Amino acid sequence: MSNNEQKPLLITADKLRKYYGEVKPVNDISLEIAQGQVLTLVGANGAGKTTLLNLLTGLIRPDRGEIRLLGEKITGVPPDQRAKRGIVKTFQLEHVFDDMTVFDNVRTACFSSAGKHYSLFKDIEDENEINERTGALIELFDLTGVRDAFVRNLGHGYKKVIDIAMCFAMKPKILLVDEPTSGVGEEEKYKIMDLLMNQIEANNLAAIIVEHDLHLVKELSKETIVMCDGEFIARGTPDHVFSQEKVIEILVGKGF
Amino acid sequence: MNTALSMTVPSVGRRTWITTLIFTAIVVVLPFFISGYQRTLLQKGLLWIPSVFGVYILYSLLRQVHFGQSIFIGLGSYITAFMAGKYSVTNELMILLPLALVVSIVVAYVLGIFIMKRTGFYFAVMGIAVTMVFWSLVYKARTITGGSDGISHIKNPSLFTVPLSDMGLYYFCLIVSVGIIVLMLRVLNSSFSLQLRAIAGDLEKAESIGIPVKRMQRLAFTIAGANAGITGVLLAFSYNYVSPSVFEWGYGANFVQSAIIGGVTSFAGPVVGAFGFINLEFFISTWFANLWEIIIGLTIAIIVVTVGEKGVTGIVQTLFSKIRCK
Ligand SMILES: Nc1ncnc2c1ncn2[C@@H]1O[C@H](COP(=O)(O)OP(=O)(O)OP(=O)(O)O)[C@@H](O)[C@H]1O
Ligand SMILES: [Mg+2]
Repeated sequence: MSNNEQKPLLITADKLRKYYGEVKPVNDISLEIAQGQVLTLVGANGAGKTTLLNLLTGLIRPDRGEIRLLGEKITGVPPDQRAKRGIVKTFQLEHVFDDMTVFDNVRTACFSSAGKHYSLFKDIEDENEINERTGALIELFDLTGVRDAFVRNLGHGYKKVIDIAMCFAMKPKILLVDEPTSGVGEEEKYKIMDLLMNQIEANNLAAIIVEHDLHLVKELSKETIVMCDGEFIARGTPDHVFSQEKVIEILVGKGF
Repeated sequence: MNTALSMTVPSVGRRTWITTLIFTAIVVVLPFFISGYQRTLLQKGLLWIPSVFGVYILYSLLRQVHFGQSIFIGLGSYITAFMAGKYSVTNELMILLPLALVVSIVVAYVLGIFIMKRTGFYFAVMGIAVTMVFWSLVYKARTITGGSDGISHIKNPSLFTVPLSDMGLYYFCLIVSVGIIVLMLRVLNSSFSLQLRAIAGDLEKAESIGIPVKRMQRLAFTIAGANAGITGVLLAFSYNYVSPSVFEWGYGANFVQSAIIGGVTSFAGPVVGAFGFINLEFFISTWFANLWEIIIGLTIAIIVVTVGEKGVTGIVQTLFSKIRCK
């Protein structure tokens, strides 16, 4: 971990706060993530994990606090621009475009990533560069077999992978992954994780991965954060963290 | 790519272009075989197409129901009525069309900022509400707009200073409408449309992959408005008369009804819808004068209940494929 400190900082969050009335899902959290640093985030249901990620992507606005990307303040920057600048998130309940083919799902992200929003009169099939890039991503994420299938007809596992592929189409600097394997069978779970981790490593991305399966967490990252009621209560190597009494109590006590 | 499987958004392929060509050929030769009155009807149908296409784009891509097209038709019409009628400034199409285009684009963009803040039911209601504001402004500003009397005696248009005959105007309208059909078909096949569909499909996901949702929605709304603005100019010249009724929300609803009749699952929908509506209106009001509203209402109800989004185009397509299978 000490070598992380030498790498330049990618994201700094300073005293982030988000309350919903009495509920305090993010309670003055500060966080620093270096380029290429991979973290796992665990915590019971309702701990505030998703809320924290949404604050980072800009999907929700904090009540207080500041977020910086490469030193630049981005607290007020809307989510679409943050995505363009490299902060990209997958969704806990996968969000994909059901009425499109797998290819068109990924292609949409490729167009967006290239900043091509307003080419009104150019035939989509003539956009060679984008179509090639889409094809390459489809292959990379092992989606060739379902390339022309409509997403609505596919299972959870596929949708998770499509969601992830769209994130990679954005050429992210940091990937926020919200429970990539929830609702997916054991076997598929490992396949998805393999794909994901390989790509994160290959592109030297920073990542925060929210994961409930503690065995997986131990394999995924060198560093884990435990969250409870909107606060970080432990941080360190998975082995060290999971041996702490207060962590065991929370994760077991809350029916983890 | 196997877009043929799509249930909602077809792709513009060779068949679409061939159909467009055949359609153009028909409307080019038809005036030689029909009466002057029938030609006016045909002209009206042609002019409705761009406006219905605007409704079609907003519905098929963004899933929004646009009742406000009459705002822009009204703007185009009144600009024409002022310039070529009341104040006799110019009747030159090459000035009036660009002018109406610019005005509708600016107004649509500004209105889009407000109307596009809401989607679904609220978007539809906002369209109606804004139309009513325009209507009452035009209605009340009697000294300028002539109030409920409207403005008559609009000169016939000229094109590059050459005065157009009735026949000339018909062919000009034809060129404009077919031109807009071609442009809209290109838009429907562009990456712009793909991203609009993404916005309609999942707004949060669209945003999170960097799509500037608001701006793209506004642009779609502006394209629809621009179409209607152009239509407005040519409709005013076709009738030589405008009245505040173009700003009535019921008039804007006609284009939504046309889109429903034509169907929103095929690109031919707007064309079939525009002609379908106008011919229905013509035949029913000639034969069963007082029953017009009832019959159009029933027709739409039957279409919605039986084939839903597919409309008349869908019925025809189904029939064709059944014949082919046999
Ligand atoms: N929009 C909202 N309005 C009110 N309360 C909210 C809202 N969003 C989240 N919460 C509450 O904030 C708390 C944290 O929610 P969050 O989704 O961040 O938890 P989580 O750690 O991701 O849980 P899970 O493991 O179930 O995904 C929960 O108690 C939730 O009910
Ligand atoms: Mg969550």
